[in-house]
Amino acid sequence: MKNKFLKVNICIIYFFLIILIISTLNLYSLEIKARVIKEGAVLRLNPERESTVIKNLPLGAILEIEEIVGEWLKGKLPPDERGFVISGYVHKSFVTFEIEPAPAKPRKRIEQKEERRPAFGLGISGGYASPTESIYDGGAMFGGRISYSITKNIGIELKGLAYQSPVDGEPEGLSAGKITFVPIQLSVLVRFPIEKRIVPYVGFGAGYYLNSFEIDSEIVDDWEDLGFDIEEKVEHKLGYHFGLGIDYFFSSNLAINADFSYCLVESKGSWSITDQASGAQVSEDFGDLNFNTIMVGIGLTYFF
Amino acid sequence: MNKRLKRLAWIGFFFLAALILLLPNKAQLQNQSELGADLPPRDDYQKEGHPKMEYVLYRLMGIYQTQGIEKAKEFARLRSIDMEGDLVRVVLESQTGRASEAEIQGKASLVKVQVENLGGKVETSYRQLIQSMVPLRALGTLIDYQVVKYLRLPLKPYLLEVTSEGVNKTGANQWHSLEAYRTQQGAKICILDAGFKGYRNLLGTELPSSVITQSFRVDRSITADEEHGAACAEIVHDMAPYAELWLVNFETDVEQHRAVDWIIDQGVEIISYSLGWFNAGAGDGTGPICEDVKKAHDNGLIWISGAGNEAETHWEGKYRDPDSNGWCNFEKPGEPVSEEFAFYVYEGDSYFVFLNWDDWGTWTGSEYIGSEGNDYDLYLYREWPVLTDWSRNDQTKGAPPTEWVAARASATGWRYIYIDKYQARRNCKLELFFWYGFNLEHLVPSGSIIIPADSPHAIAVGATDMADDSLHFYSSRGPTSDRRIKPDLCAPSGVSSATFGEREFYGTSASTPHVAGAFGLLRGKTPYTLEQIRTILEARAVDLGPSGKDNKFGFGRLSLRR
Repeated sequence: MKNKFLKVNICIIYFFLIILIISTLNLYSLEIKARVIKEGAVLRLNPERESTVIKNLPLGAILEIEEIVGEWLKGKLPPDERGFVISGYVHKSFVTFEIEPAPAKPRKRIEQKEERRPAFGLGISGGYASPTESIYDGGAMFGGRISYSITKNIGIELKGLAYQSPVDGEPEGLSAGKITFVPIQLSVLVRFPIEKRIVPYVGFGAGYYLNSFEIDSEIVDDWEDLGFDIEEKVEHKLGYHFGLGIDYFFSSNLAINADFSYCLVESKGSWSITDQASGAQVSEDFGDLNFNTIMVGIGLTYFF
Repeated sequence: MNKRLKRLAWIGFFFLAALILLLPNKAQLQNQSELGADLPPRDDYQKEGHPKMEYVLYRLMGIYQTQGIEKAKEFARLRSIDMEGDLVRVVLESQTGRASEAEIQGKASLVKVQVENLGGKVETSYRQLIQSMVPLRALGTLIDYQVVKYLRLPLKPYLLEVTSEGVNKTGANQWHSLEAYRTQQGAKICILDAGFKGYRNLLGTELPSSVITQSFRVDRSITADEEHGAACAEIVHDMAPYAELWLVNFETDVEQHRAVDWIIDQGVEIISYSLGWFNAGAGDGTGPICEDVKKAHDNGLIWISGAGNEAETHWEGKYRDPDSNGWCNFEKPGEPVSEEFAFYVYEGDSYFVFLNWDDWGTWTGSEYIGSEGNDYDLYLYREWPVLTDWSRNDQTKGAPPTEWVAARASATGWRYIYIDKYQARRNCKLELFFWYGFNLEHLVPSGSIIIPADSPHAIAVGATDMADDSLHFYSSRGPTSDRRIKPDLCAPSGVSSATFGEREFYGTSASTPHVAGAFGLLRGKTPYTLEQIRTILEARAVDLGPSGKDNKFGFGRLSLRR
C-alpha cells in the first residue's frame, strides 16, 4: 500500500517536473527590462564612470537590457517619436529589473499558426510507466502516436507504447521475471488552449494491451537442471485509461508534450510445470492479475 | 552260532539306532521337550484349546493354572507376551457380523464392562477391538462371554532395522537450495514407529528445532526405549529439511488403528513406516493393517512402507505329503525331500517362526469371512527330538490361518520346524517367516514382501547398496500373494546417522525414510499432488535389474535427478 502511494507521488512529481521544464522553455523567450529607480541615472557610452554621458535618464524610464558587463548594464531606450533608439551603459545601482513576456510580435505568429494548425500529427513519446501493484516495478516506456484534431478543442489520438516491468514474484502470482506490456491506446482528447503555444488537455479512452511474461532465467535454468519445464503466461487484455496533458508548440508544426495517465488493466494468466521424465504436469490459472499502471510521458509531435 | 547271534544282535542294534535317529516317531515327539510338559501328539488327538482363543493364550492359561504364575511369566517372556503381575495384554474382538457402527460400539462397551468386572483394565480400543490387561485366571470366563468373538494377543510390528549418504546419492541435495515453485509450505510427514529414543538430543541439528510427538502406547512413552524411529526421522529430515515432522509411536495393532485416525485428523500428508507385520493378513493387500493404509490413502495420504528384510528368512510353497503321514515335506533341488526345516540361531537371540496359509477367506473391510477352515499346526524343535514350542490354533473353529512359535536360543545352532496338517480339505500354500532365524535350509526369497508393504496403496521400498546400487541380500521381494509386482521403489541403505553413531543404518527401515523424505521434498518444492510425485519418482528411478518394474527393485533406485 505504501509502495503504491509512493509510486503515485513519484509520478505526480515527474509530471510537475515536466511542466516546470516546459515553463522554463517559455521563460527563455521573455525579455529582461530595467526600470530607473534613482535620480541622477545617466546612459554612458562605455561601462565606466568617466565615460561620455549620452542621455540623462528620468525616474521610471524603462530600458531593454541587452548585456551585463560587470556592474554595468547595456540597455536601450524605446524608440522616440522619430524612431531613434538610444543605447548605452547604466550603472546597476540606479535600476531594478523587470521581466516581461516576449513582445507581441511572436504572439502574432502563434495566432497565425493556431488558425492554420494542421489536423494530423505524428510523434514519438517516451516516459516512465509504473504498475501500481507492489510486485511490479516501473520501467521506461517508448512509443509513437498519431493524432487528429476534429475541432479546435476535440481530437483523437492513437498511441502505441512498449514498456517492461520487472516482477518481484510472489507465491500466488507471477514468479520473479519480466513482464512486457505493449498497449495500443485510442484516446479522445479535450483541449483547453489557454494560450497560443500552450494547450492543456484531458483525455480518456480504451486500449488493447499485448502482454507477455518471461520468468527469470535463473529460475528456469534451476528447474531445467532438475528436469522440469516451467512456463507462465499472461493474457492480452482490453484496458481503459484517463489522464491529462499539455502541448507546447515550438512552431506551427512542432510541439512537445507531457502527459499523465492512469490505465486500468485486469488480466489473467496461467502457469505450468512439467516433469520431463514422466510428463507429469500441473497447470493452473492465476487469479486476476492487476496491471493498473500510472504513466508519465513526454513526446515530440510533428503536425502536417 | 554265538558269533552269528552276536553279529545279528549288532546288525539289529545298528538298524534300531538308525531307525531312532532317522525316523522320528510320535513317541519321541510326545516324550521329549525342552519345556518338559504338555507334549503334543501329532495326530489322533482332539485339539485342545478354545475355538475363541488364540492357542498360545490357551497354553499360557494352562501353564498358569497347573504350574503357577512364575512359570507362566517365563513362558510369556520367551514369547514377548506382555504381562504385569498376573495380567496379560490381550485383544478382545467383539462380534460384528453385519452390525451397524452403533451396534459395534455397543457390543464393545459390553465387553469393556465385562473386562473391568473381571478385574482387568481396558487400555485402548478401536471399533470392535478392545486392548486390555486381563487377569490370567479370568481368560476362561471372558471367552465364554457371548459378545466376545475372539481373544488373541495383540499383533505387534517388527522393526525393519537394518543412517544418510542417501541424500547425495539420490540427488536430493540439489533440491535443498532450490526455491519452491508455486507452493508455500513444507510437507507434513509422520514417522510412525515403535519408539524415538534420543530424539530430543537431535532437535535443532539432526531434526527440526521442533517436532510434534504423540504416543499411542499404553504407557504414553514416545521414546519407548527404542531408537529406531529417531534414526528414520533423521533420514526424513536429511532428505526434506523444511518438512514438518510428526513422531508417532504405538505398540500394538489396536494402538496403530487409533494412531492412523489421529494422523489423518492432523492433516499429515506422508507416512514413513519402517515396520512390518507377520501373520496379519493374506499378503494380498488385505487385512487390518493394510486397512489402515487404505484408510490413509482414501484420505489423501501417501504411505511409504518398508518392503521388509525377509528375502533370506522366508519360505513359501504348497503343502506336500507324499508319504501321507501328515508332516509337510520340504523339497530342495538335488536333495531328498525332508519333513524338517532347519534354520540357524545365535545364543541369546529370541527368535520367532510365523506360519500362515492361503485360507484367509474374503476381507470385508473389518474382518475375513468365508475361510475353509483348513488347519495346519507348527512345531519347533531345538534339536531332534527336543520339542521347544508349538502352536495349534483351531482353524476348524474359525481361528485365522496362522500359527507362530518362539523361543530364546540357549545355544548357537540349528533349530527345526515341522508343519503338520491337522485337518485340511486341500493342500494349501504355506508361508513361513523367520524372525532372527538364519541360513534357512529351504529358502524362497520370492514373495517375501511383508505387511503392509503388500498393500496396493502403499509404496513398498526395497534396499539397495549405497556404493554400487546392488540389491541388499535381505531386501524383501515380490510378488504379493495376488501376483502384483512389489516393491515399488528401492532406496539406499547402509547410511550414517547420529542416532546409531558408528553403526551404519541398514535395512529397508533406512530406505523407507529416503523415499518418504523425497516425497516431502517434492511436495514442499513443487505444486504436484502426492500421486503425481509418485509418478515422477517412478519415472526418475534408476532402473536396475530387468528392464522396467520388477520384483526385486520395483521401478529402480530412488533418484531426484533429471
